[in-house]
Amino acid sequence: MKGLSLTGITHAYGGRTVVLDASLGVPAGKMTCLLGPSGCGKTTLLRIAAGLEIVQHGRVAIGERVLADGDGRRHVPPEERGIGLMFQDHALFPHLTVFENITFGLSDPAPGRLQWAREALAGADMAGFADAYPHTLSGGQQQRVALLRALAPEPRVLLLDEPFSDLDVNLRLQVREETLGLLKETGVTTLMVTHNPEEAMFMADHIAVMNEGRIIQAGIPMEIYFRPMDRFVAALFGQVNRFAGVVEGGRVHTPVGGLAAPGLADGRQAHVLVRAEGLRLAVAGTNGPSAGARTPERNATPARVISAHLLGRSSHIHLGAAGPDGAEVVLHAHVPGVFLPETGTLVSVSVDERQVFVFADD
Amino acid sequence: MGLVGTRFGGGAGTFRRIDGWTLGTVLVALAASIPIFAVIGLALTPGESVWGHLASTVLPLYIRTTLLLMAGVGLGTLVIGAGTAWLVTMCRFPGRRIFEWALLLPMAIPAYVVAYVYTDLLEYAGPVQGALRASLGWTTKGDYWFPEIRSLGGAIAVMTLAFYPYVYLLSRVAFLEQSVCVFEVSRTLGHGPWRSAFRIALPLARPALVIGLSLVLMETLNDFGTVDYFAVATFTAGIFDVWLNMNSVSGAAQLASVLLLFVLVVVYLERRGRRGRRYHHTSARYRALPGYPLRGGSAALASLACLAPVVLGFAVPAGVLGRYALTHYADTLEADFLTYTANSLGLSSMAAVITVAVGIFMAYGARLRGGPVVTAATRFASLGYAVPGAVLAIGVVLPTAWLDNTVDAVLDSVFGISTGLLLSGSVFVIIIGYVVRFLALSFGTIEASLSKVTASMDGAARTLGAGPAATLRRVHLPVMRGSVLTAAILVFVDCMKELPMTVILRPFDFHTLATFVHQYASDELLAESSLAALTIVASGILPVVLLSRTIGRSRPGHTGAPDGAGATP
Repeated sequence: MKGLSLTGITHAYGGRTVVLDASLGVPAGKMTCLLGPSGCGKTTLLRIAAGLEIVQHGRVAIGERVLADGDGRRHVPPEERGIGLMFQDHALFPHLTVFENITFGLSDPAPGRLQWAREALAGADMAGFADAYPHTLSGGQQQRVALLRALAPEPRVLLLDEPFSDLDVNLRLQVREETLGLLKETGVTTLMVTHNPEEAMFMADHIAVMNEGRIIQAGIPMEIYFRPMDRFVAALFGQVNRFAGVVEGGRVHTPVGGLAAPGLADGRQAHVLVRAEGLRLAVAGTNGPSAGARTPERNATPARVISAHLLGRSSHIHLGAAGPDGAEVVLHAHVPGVFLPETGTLVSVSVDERQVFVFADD
Repeated sequence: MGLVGTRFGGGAGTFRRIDGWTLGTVLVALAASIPIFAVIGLALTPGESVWGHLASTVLPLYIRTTLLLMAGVGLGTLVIGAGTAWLVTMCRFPGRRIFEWALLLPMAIPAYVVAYVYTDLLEYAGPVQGALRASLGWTTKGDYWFPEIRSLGGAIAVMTLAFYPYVYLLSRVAFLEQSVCVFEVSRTLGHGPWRSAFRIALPLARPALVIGLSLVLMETLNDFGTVDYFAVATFTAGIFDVWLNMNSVSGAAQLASVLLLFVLVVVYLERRGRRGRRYHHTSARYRALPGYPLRGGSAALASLACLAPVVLGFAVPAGVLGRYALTHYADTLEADFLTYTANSLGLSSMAAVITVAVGIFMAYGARLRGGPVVTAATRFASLGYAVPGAVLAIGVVLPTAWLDNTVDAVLDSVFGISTGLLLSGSVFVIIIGYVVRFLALSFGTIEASLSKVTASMDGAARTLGAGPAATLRRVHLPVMRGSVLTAAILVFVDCMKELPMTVILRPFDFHTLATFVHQYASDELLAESSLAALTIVASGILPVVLLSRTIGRSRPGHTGAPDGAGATP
């Protein structure tokens, strides 16, 4: 079985381009996440794959079978594609019971699939809800039913549109793990759309990052996190400190010291992004590290604590450091555990080189 | 928004897919708009113009009478409708829960039937004046003054009683929908309940009041039975006069097109109201309404204020008809009542089935294909409801006559067969008229319930292997079932009551219950036709029951209120 491929997709609504020359491969049997902010065109791409939008430019195929080809010349209707889609709002049919919803897509219900539906319901702790109507279910239960409904006809490809977005935080973690378990068990090729980077990192075998209608970078989670191709991808995973400067002697001078700028010629204007968790703090004059803080390193820069907030598993520190022109620059640092120095405490800041990203100004 | 369909290509020019649904929807919508175009077309066609004649004789009278009638009925229905709605929604007084639905009852009786009954009661020979003369010793007309019911004032009173439920219904829904929070904010800022009502609740309900008022004015312009019976010279009466007595179709069309200008103003009011409504909806949070308890004198006044419209608009007419029916049912039966009932039932059910089918087709097509063209076409097709029956009848007669003549001429020249008139003067023309006039009713009801099926439900069904037709059958229709039935009942009942179009379009010597009652009542034979009138009223009760149940459910927190407010029996 081959995966899903979208090639050179460009799509516009009434003159407004929402997807621009996007190409994406979803390898068979793997989970691919399409990650991007809301309004970046990822849901449109999903709808194009499902056949709910007619392709304007580009090609949709599963393996060698072309489902849709540019300018709407070829358009296999959604009901003949064998692509399942689970909607953000779950879209359960209000007039059908849970069991009727799940078996909706079984045109000639084989006894085996009916049996599967019953077992799957039982597996989701919902055996007693087969005859219940959707409006009586909790959000988590509706999500499970929607997922089972999409899986029931054994689609070749499953598309998930923000499947966990309307669940509260704790439930989301639990449902996410259940869903991943179920998908791995069935081995279905999956493309999931999400705006939550942590969710993408957790679920995905591959991640494609999308912004303003373009696919910016695709790769395994490690690559996306540690080798972002531009500022947008680097800033996707939380707060970053942004600096600008000119490359001198292979380094850019920043308020947290000179940072290596590999591949950039001297004299070029560069942007430097340092993730908040890439700043290491040590209280000046003490040797033993506070929780999460390290002893001063070679490149340590002095800074003064402006405020410190406990977030729970980690602490967020605002720091004031001297900028290149002498003015104070505010830094954000994210350290694990409880680290709450008094305002005004002098700390030394060092940098985790893996969390530093330098891009040429273009 | 359409799921798949006409879209603009990005950058490389545009492309459109004209497919069956788009074409079908637009064609059906256009067909339903033909009568309106026909009237305008004929009015603009130069030919035998009665303008000069009309303008110098009756036109100023028509305009003045119609405006006075609209103003009187509008004012009366606003005061009674909004006032009673406010009382039953916001206050607590004896009988309130009964009045909640009973105030809708006058809707069941067509204005012309109310007119016949009150004329019967209040004319010189009627029981009221008779009793006055007997008890006060008057003998002749010159001995005393008594208001003449068959007058403009009488028409205003009758139509106010018959049409105020529109305003009541819409303003009650608006009051129910208002977030109590806004109201409570006003009270915490130092305004008393009455001041809050005038400064917050009424302004927030204004769009609903405007919609209700525009519906009342549409009905007022549409009315033929009352103004004909009372000899009040409105436009609608004028159209009948010019057509049937002066035998001038184009003159009637010219009058009709002036009447359409009045309609345009009313439709504009209504659309503006509906637009405003979106912005006036305050919050989705519902709480039990305050329910100011009224005591003593004010409670009695409130009860009386709600009782009066119900008694005058429903109990008296229904009672009079009921009494007559008991004594004179044999006369009605003798006058071929059963045939007329069968005619009414047959026409109304046929029209209801077709109207609902067309409504479903148009609503689903509009949803499936969206797009400005389809939307505009369906909106225009729904205008039939605003167009007075007399105008619409002209618009139906002209194209069918043209079609008949064309078919006849073509067949005659090709095969030498003369078909004569196929459609004209047949019951099919009546059904066409009903469908065009009441399409908005079914389209609106079905469109509203279609919006309960979200776009992603469509998508879910499609990706689960159901094509567009299967999706309609397996998802939309089951979800809409209740609303489809509601639409069918509403159309059915309106067809049962319909008078002006039926009078114009019916074949010679063909009667429905409505035309039968109108003809008999015009000949001072109300008692002899009372059973027929009562049958129309009985069918009119159906939508009242439906409507009262719908608003009871419209406010989630309301039925759960401790006093069971909003629950209907």
